[in-house]
Amino acid sequence: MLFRWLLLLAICLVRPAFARQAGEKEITDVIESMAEAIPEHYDMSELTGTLEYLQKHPLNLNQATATELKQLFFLSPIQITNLLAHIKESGALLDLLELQALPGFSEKVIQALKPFVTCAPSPTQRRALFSAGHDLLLRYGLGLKDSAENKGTGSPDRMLLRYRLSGTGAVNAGLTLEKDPGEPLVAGGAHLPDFVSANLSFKGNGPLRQIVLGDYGLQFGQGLTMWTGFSFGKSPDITSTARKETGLRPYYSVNEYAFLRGLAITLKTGLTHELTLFGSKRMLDASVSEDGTVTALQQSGLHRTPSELRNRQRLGQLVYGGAMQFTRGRLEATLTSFVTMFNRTFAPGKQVYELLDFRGDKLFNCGLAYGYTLRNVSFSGEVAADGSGRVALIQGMLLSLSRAISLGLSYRNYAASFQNFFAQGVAEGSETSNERGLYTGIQLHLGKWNFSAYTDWFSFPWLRYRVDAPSSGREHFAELSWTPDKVSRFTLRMKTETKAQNGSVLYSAFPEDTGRSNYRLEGQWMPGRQVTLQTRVELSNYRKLALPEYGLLIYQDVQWAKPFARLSANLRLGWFRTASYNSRIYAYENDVLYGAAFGVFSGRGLKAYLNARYKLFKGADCYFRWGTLWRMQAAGIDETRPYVDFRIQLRYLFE
Amino acid sequence: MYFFLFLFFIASPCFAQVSQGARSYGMAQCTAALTDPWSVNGNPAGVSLSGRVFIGLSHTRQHLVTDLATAAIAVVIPSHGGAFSLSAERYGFDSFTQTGARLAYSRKFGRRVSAGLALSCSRQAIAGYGSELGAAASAGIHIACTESLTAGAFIRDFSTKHFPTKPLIGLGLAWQASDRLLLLSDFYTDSPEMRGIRAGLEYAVLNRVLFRGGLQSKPFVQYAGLGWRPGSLQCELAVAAHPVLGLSPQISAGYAF
Repeated sequence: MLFRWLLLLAICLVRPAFARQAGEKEITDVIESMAEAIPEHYDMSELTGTLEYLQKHPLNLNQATATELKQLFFLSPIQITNLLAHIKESGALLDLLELQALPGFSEKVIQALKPFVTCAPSPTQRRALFSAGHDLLLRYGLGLKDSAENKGTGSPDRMLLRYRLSGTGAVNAGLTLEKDPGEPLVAGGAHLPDFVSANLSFKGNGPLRQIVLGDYGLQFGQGLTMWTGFSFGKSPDITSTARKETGLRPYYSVNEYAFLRGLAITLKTGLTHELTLFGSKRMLDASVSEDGTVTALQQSGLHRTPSELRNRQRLGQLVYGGAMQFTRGRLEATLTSFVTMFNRTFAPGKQVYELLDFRGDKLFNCGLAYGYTLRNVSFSGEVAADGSGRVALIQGMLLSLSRAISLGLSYRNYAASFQNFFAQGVAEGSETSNERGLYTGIQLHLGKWNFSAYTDWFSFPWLRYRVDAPSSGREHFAELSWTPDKVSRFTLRMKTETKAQNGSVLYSAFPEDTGRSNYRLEGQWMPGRQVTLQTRVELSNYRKLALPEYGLLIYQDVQWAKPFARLSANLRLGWFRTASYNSRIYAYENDVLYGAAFGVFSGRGLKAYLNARYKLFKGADCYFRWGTLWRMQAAGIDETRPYVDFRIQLRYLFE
Repeated sequence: MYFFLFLFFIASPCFAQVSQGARSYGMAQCTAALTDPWSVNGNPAGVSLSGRVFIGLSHTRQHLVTDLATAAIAVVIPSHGGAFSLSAERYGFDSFTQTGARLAYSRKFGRRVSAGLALSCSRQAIAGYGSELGAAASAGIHIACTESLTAGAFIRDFSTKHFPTKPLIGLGLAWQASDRLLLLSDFYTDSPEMRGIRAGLEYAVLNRVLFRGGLQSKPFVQYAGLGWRPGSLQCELAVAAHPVLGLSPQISAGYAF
């Protein structure tokens, strides 16, 4: 009898573990698909942090609002609308499996949802003022090799201290202190580390919905007007083409650029609408010329070298504005308007491709976004304009063709000279300007087989960096995965992209079509409840005119996690060889909690890392990472020492 | 006029002058496994064997250029055990024309297999240079793998002599995913340099209204279409969008007696 109870308990504990892996796989897929579009030092902890938070504080579906549900990025607008309509019409959910009866909810979606939600029948009650746990995180990392990080003016170690007061209560707070490798421990003559972020927030059920003092983020509409922090671009998950705005959120991440600092407040001004007012004043990093004008913004947040330190906090930015969110039935609309002011004038470079860049010291932006779901079709779109009347537009449609098949379409047209410092529309380029494109994606869930594919055609009406003519390109992606049983999965993936780039010959008259393709085969197998094996082989191909070159990456992952055990770990051994940086290969890498990274592999070498987690006592965990990269020359291992990165992290959760 | 000739010569691999009806045109010209009366110009095994007489007309305007147009007619006449189908078309402008006709016979072999054969002749004329006549043969097969999944293969306009259009080989699948949804996918090749994948879908948004869409990988072309089928009448509208050459709309109408 005891054995049966133990078995039941083990199943209950292990099942969420499987589901959690499914959720992590979603994050991994999206991050990898965006790897080339994300800046090299972009911090993705905001995304992983949100899901980690939801794992710890699952969302009660019976009480969740549309905005809260949008945090679950893998839910489509159709699913969110159907879920809310079902609860409104049929009453509270008793079990998550009830969702299977709703259009658009496959077993896969429910499995992905499981770790982050509950169906508690608790009645609406007043939010307690203080019902929060304390979350303390301390991280130390070190890169052991001569590198740019070690040539900085400061020590090569990376340090992070983060405290977060969070939970279901009304009052929450956060404090983050961080120092990147190569940065001095204290910066700017102050007695504080290089990056300090803090906020205090209050969440209410009455007219005052939320107020944040300190650092915060804003996400409205489809990202053409105001969107800070992480955003999904083109990805295998077609539901991510329709952005899900989360409105005002306190900022807990360590990205040193993508946030606002000041005061923001959300008011419920009526049954169907909410008003958010925000003001922000902060200093940004920028390159400033001798005459005092700004030539470029620096978004990396790194202050290692004398020039980076010189550019630190040289530009003052003031932002103020508001957003009105309107919801009625299946229609939602958001009107956003704000002003951005700087204490210096922008005077960008003299290259032809820079001619349309922002100049001046003041910018007005506004935008109108909408979302509407009709039966099995969800429409979403946004039109945004800047003070000079230049317009950016995006219009998307998500169509649930059958229970197993979904189709996504999205058209975008961003004027070549459209200006907005907070726009993050779906784009091929890094800016929300100078682009037209049409994205078409399809997803099929056929029992053990899943297939997703998309194609994106894009054109750039104006010149770009290293492209001295208007140009166009296309991207195709297809992935087929087969899950023959509960313990194994095989995936075949193909991605190919063709874009124009200046010719190899100096003063070439026309940019040449440059192609990059990746082919991936991956197998995952769980030989037991404790061990997961994952093998990947990826081939890359780069071609410019008639000069193709190739790259290959092979790695083996081993994950070990035993229920109830104090220790869990994962290990990777990888080998790569590419002809040059052009045929580089990206691969997601596991890290300590809240840390996530993707490796960029070029040249020839070996990569290995080990992550471990040890439960010290209740609420206290210790994380450890050791990664090594050996770069080899043709004759064997290079004489120089391998690059080693080391990280240790302590996390303590207490009431 | 020289501009049209120039456009024709630079763009000739980018479109087929063979009209297969606006239904398949809206689905990226996926015809290998499609069942449609206009399949006489695609995979002859796919000619509809519903036992009804069909007559249809089609008009395509390449790249919205007034003089570059294809006009076609197709007729299907059922016979005992199969169907005869006939098509005729004209492509070009004053200085350059292609005219052709095709006769096909299709029939079923058992419950799962249907096959078709077609013979075609074509005449190509260039003002001041004379004209040339050619003949070619086409063949195709459909295999119903399951009730909803059909595989198809065909070779079109195979000829030992010069023929205005290149032989086209297509292999494809058609999946009737639900009452409202049809998915198609083709692999096609007409030369070592020109081979790729096409994919298309047809979705019945209302009982008599159908949306269509498709993509072709090489050259990269996007397609969209709309169908309206009141009773025995079939009205189809489709458009192809080439990133450089622009839009090419096609309209077709047919009636099944």
